Amino acid sequence: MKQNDEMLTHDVLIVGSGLAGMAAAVEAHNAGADVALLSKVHPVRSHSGAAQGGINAAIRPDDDWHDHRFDTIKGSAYLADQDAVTVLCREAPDAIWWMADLGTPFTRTAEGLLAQRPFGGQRRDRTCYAADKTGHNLLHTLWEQVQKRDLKVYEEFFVTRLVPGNGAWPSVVALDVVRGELRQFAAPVIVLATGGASRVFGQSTNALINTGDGVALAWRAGLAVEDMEFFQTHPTGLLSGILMTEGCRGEGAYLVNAKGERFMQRYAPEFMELAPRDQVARAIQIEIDEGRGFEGGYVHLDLRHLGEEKIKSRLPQVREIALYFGGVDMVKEPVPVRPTVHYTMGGVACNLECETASPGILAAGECACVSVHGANRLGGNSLLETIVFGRRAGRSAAARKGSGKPPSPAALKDEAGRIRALFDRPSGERPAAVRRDMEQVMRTRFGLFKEGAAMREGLATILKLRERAAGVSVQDKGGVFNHDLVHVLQLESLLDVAWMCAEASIPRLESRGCHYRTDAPHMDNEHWLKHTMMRRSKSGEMRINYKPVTIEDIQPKAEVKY
Amino acid sequence: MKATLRIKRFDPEKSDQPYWQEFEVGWDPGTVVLYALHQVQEEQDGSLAYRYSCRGAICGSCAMRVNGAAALACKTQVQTLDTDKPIVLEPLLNMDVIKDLVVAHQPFFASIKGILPYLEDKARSGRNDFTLDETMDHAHKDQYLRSTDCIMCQSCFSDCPKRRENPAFEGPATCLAMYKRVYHPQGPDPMARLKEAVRPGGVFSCDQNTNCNRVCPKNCLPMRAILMLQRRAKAEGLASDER
Repeated sequence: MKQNDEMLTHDVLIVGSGLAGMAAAVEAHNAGADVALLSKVHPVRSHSGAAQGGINAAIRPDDDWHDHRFDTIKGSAYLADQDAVTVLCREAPDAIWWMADLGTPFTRTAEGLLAQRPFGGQRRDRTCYAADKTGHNLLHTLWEQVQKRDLKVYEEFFVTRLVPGNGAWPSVVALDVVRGELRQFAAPVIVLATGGASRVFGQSTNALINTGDGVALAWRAGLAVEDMEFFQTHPTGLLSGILMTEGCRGEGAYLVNAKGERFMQRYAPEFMELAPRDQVARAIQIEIDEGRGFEGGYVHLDLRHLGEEKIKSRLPQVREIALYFGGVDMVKEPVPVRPTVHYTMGGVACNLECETASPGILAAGECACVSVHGANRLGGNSLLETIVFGRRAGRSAAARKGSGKPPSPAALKDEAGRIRALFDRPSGERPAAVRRDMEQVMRTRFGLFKEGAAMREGLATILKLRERAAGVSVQDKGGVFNHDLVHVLQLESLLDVAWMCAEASIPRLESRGCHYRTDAPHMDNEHWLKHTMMRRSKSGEMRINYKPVTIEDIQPKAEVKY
Repeated sequence: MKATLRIKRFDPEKSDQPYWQEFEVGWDPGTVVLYALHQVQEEQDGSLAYRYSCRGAICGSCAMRVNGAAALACKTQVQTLDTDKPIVLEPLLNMDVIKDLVVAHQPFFASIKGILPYLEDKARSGRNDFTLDETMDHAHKDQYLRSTDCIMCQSCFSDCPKRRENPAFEGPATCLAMYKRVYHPQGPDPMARLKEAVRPGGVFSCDQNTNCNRVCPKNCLPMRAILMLQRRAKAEGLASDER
């Protein structure tokens, strides 16, 4: 592997160019910083663009951000930090107006106001949207702003190592995938905005690129990673894994089992299909497991009663997706759906200014854990988090630029040696074989229903997979666009995340939000109203301790009922 | 079931000439070309290069030529192709090839960037009460929403014969982005934008080959946007003879 010894420096370097990364970049630039984005894909290829349903903000006259805050905290199973949720909900309207002013084509009412649809776990119509392509439209709007500012984007650079500053600037070593060379980038402030990690389950709504690289990089660099036992399963994925937005149910779709029952009646009689995602997902899985699903393990998402016109105007993209990736026309037939892993609530621990405990390293978006989602995220709050906390990270970063000195180039040499050693491995297993076995363990042991003995067995398997991964080989010996090498590096990220999820899940002997244990089916506020904090010790071991949840005025209840 | 992928390969570190290679893959109803490529990369030849991300037809990464026409590999079902013959996969046209099915997309994004694809500072606030209905008629409202659907996959850019013949032509996606700017309901100065759209290399350089409409995976109808801009430009007295 070639290496380029010229270190590239900026005031602010942002790793990841989805919504959080680009929002941070635009705000840091607005505050006068020389900012660069670095991403393993071109910015418009980011997974933010796949978000369908919408973005929450209390902007109607009958709504109030305090109510948005209450719904978010209750939906989080009281694990969200209440000061962080205050920031999220209070700044939400401004985030929407910011994006609207930049030209995002939000859907409007006949009066020209922003249209809002109901989403799960919320008592108002609070979710703004641009048809069912909200993420796509937000992403392209911010990309336009990146063009307007002529910001430097290092496209198709894969970060292989994050190096904390230890007195100097932090830096990253990254593989320039197109040229096939390693390079070091340093800046007084580095923002991690690398997105989620749900690919660890294989069967996931996430893009294939969501391999949890940022979380793994931070963990390997000794930073604290928080709440990795909480992965959200979306109730309605197509059998191929692609998402059917919650907006379908927001518009009035029914969930129906093979006996023709709207079974949510039994689980959440008041909120029905619009209970929070954790509850709806478990309800669907119970229906399937108890034999009331359809042959092949799914239920029906029925939109036919909405009528062709409403489906075509409000849900045009999901109709196409169901057509192309599920083979059904939702105007005429119900859509087969099943629970599918969707979102990483945990991530790199950071404060309200997006700062991690390592000076000059910030985190924002899905790879971060502030924590605004706690044990279960409400639909429409993830796009919101990317804009609100992406902007905060940008401002926070720009305010810190300039101090300190560039780091030593030693990390580049180390990484070049490490990557060379990957090439020199004798021919071994393919990375995909190990990855598939990992996905299987994660699905069966750390999915919707967890249980102590099964999880311990799962952890043992994950540790064996880590040993196997140390022997996988890079078949492609070339430099230019070597995705075979990238797959090996991504497998390292995935297995770090899998390990964290397992180690965090096993001790939490309770059920809260998306962490549900059949051997401990109740919430235990007395012992477990706390965040899991994981760190890698110098010798590579997993260290776990716990941090209290920030509770302000909303007292946790014994259970979360809808 | 089995199908053969016939892939046009290129590795600049080995040769300056492309070559063809065939791989046999398994498929079921529902298998898409992208997953057939994964099979090859994961199990047969790790050096095969292609781009991918969302695998749900929204990120625009995996456009390539499938049996002679640009398409998204993630959206193309093997069962819709004739599997008695090899499925021919080639990189997109009108851009240099980096490796195998990966092209250098800089000319495409440079063209989009060149038309200043963002709202100007003096744009109308998005907080104002406005609807598309009040700002445009049905056809334009429809076309405006289509213009916002573009995922920049470069399929139209690849398969545009006019671009091949005249590299000064910005291509269908850029013209679509011009349309989006002219008709943006917050756009402060549609006439200035329209003037830019008729400059050399702009909408009057299109010779109305319909490839762009046909290959667009999001049904954005770029050629319709071009014709609508041409009509508007003529009505405003801005028509250019440049072809």
